[in-house]
Amino acid sequence: MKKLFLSAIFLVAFSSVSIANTIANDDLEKENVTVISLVADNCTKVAQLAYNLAISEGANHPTAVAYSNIAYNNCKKSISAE
Amino acid sequence: MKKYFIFIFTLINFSVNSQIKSGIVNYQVVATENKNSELEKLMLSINPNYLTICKEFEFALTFNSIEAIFKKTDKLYSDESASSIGILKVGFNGNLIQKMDTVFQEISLDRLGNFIQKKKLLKKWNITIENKDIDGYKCYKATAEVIVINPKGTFKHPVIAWFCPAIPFSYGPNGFGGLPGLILELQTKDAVYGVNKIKLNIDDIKIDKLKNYKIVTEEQLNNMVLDLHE
Repeated sequence: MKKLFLSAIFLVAFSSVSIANTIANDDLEKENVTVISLVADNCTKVAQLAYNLAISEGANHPTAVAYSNIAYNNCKKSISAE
Repeated sequence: MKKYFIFIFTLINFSVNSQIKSGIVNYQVVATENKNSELEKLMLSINPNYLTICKEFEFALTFNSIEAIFKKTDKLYSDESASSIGILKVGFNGNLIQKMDTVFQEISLDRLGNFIQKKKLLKKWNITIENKDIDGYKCYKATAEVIVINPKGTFKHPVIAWFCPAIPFSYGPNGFGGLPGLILELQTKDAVYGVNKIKLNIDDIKIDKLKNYKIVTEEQLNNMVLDLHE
């Protein structure tokens, strides 16, 4: 009887920890998705800035796009390194 | 006055043309710092070495009487990331072949692929009597404008070429030419290309071919880039 009671308590405790972990993981995933979206959004803005600056200073489209790609890739690389 | 100079250049060219048949000219480049450029500030924040790395770039112009190829020498750089920005700064987009009045250039674009861009050689030069000695050759100054039309307007970027009538070939660095002599120094908005070695009349000179990419005009290429980014 005592063994059964202890097993029941252990089972409840284990389930609670699992549920808590699942909730925590879900929160973490949501947080990560938000961070990734923000990063991607910022990198797009940096890329757009580089493109606009290049065009304003008289670059042709292919050159402006090349500058924009450099800015975007550098932004993504910096974020992933952090 | 201008006609007189052209006559003199032609005369010199005619007398020397029979002697020089081909050559390889090596160029180096120095990026021109522009402290007012916001783009430059942004790129310097990405990599502060990108202006100085340009001094490591080496180019070779190999020519005969029919055509010339201008190529960047393959090598490792002290900072590869800086070199990818530096090469944009000095305006070199890919290897080029100049044949008569046309320039063909290898262009690689992210998400669009590889192309050969075909465009007309810049020919509206204003030749002056100003001259200087470059590597033992008397060179004359010529000026022109590179016109770029983009959504912000029409930009006229000045170009200065120092050409040498004693080497009577209408070639030069980075697709510039069309003068009565080889360009030994070229000053663009962002860079100065200068000669560092001249070898003339090399036996069995080989003009490499460009890669076998689809040929497009400058306008077609611009439109493709615009369509992709709209």
